[in-house]
Amino acid sequence: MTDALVSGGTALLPRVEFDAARCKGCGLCIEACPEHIVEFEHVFNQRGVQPAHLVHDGLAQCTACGNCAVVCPDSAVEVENRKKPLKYGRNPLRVGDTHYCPGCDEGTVHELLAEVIDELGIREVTVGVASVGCTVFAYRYIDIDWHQAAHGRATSVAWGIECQHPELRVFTLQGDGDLAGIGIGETIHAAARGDPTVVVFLNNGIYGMTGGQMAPTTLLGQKTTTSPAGRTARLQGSPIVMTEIMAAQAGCSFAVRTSVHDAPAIRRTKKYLRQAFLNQEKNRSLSVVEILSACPSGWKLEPVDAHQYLVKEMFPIYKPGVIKEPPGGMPR
Amino acid sequence: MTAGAEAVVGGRRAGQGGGEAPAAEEVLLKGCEAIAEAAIRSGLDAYFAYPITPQTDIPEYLAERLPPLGKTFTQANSEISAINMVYGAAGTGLRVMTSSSSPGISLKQEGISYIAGAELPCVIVNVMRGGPGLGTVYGSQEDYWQSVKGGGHGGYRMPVLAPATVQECADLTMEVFRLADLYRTPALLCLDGTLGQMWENVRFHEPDHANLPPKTWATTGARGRKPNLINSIIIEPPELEAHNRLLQAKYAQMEQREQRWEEYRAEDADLVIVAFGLTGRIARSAVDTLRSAGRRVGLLRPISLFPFPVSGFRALGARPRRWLVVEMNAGQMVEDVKRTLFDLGRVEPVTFYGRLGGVIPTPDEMVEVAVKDLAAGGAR
Repeated sequence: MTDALVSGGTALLPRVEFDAARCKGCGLCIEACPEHIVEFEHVFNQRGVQPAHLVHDGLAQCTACGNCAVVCPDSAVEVENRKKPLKYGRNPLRVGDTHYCPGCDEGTVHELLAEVIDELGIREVTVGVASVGCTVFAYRYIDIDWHQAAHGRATSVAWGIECQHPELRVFTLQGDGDLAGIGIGETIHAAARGDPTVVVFLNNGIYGMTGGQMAPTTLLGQKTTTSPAGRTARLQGSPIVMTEIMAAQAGCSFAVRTSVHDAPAIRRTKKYLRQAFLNQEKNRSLSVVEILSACPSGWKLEPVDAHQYLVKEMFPIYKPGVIKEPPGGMPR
Repeated sequence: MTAGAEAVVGGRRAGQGGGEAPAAEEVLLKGCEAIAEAAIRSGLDAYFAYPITPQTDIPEYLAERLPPLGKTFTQANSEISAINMVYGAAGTGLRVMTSSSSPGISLKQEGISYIAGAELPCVIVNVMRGGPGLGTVYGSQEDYWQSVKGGGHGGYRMPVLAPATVQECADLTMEVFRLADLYRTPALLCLDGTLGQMWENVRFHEPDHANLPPKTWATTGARGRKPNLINSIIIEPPELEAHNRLLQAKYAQMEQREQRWEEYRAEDADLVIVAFGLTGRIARSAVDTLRSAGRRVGLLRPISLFPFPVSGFRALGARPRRWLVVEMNAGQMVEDVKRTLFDLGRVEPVTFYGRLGGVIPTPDEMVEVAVKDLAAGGAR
């Protein structure tokens, strides 16, 4: 919601706008603000949540760091630093309101993809492959050509798209059930073939769309609706660590694991996504960016707590960092 | 098989190209190879498949021929992967094909359903083998139901053409590509393993691919236009119903326009044998034998299994007669024959004769069954 005091005012003060209608009330922006000047409003929006906004007189303390805009999974915050040409917020390619739950990291990844595609100037040659799972409606949220794939088959569809179209930049957006469960064969063979696909792998350790069942990547001890007593190695097997397996294939030239749990991680992930698309152009082989993602609804945790859980529980099993550097070093 | 003086081919004749072109040279090829060569001549851009007997000659032929043409040949990690590569490539507007044999076709069904739902053109070849399960590598016609009733989930249909000769393998391959593009649909060429492995002389005609609609829906990058979307998920029931009504209207259009059959010595027949593919070809020999013995027996050979050639039955006129359906299965097409006769208001006896599990019925067997059937009907 635009507040006259907030958006106008002195020219050198930052411009900060919270879109109250888009806000799902996850509170990630409140957590991300280093100046503690973001809070929930007292009134409710039409979604039935109290949207975030700047505290009264908060603008004076705002450093225009952009964290609130960067961490918003719904791209509902815009920050403009008027002292430097710096702006944070929704990219024009990032369209519509998502069906994702409050605090879901997938919206953040959509924003990053839109920004990277836009900044690299490849919108007109990019085709996204949406898979089955929560990413099934990804085509609604980034303004490019999309092909919606069957469960697990995104990399096969991607190869079909690019096999006679070397000019196209094809990426897949796949969850862990899709990529590591039903589609593990397709995934590994795409890496072995060296398809020039950018695989964006959202690992939240759970089947989110179907309501929180155990995934191949569910952690030991993690409770899901189909491992109600917690996953055990003996009964349900151990989590699959996919990106290392993909990196082991000669046709995979770039593999990295990252997260979007806070503003620095999001900025890092954007860099990795950019590098993946650059690597796609340069090395014409497979790039994988695994993004550890929170599923607050499936994990039954508040969004902020879910990110803490992600760092504490997922990082030890799924270690973030570059797993395979492309030949010739990291793309710039 | 050249249609004889007494043969009438109903509906649209496949791939005849008007006949102005100089006579093509005859070459000796297997059924599978003729399909592969005809696909190349139809402008095949990309082919994806997984090896399975008895259709592996198709991928082997294309593995050699496609790459030098700058086209894509990919041996996928599974039939499932192959059909999804087809899905992706068809989405960019390419001429695309996959082929397999019965168990592999079962694996492709989910993908075919997606392709039907998303309305993309592609060609699928099923060189049928005996089943169920792993069954046998010998040819059969046990996938008739799977081929014409949808196969995968969701109530879709697709054109299904069934060749009986290597020449028809070539002609109908070209035709099935045309139907796929014309109706924006997956289309199936369905033959049994024996025909796939059979050597015969074949002449390749120019494909008749004029006046096909432009592929403005292809996902080739949103340059100067709004984004395109290839998709089969339509969550809201009224919207999905509307989409399904459009699909059904398309199938009804195919039923109106695309029926194909061959009629052979059937006009005055007391008994008409109805058989498709290899069985239809064998039945033709049986008809000749029976005719030499003075028996008035003819053949109606469906070439399009979907749409079922109802018009072929209607064209035979009102003359009362008996019907003998012969298939290499336990009785699948016979259901469509009975339904067709019922719809035409005919209440004549329909006899079924089938061999199962890859066993091929001989002409003598068919003669014997026909004679018995004629006797049951009071004929001498």
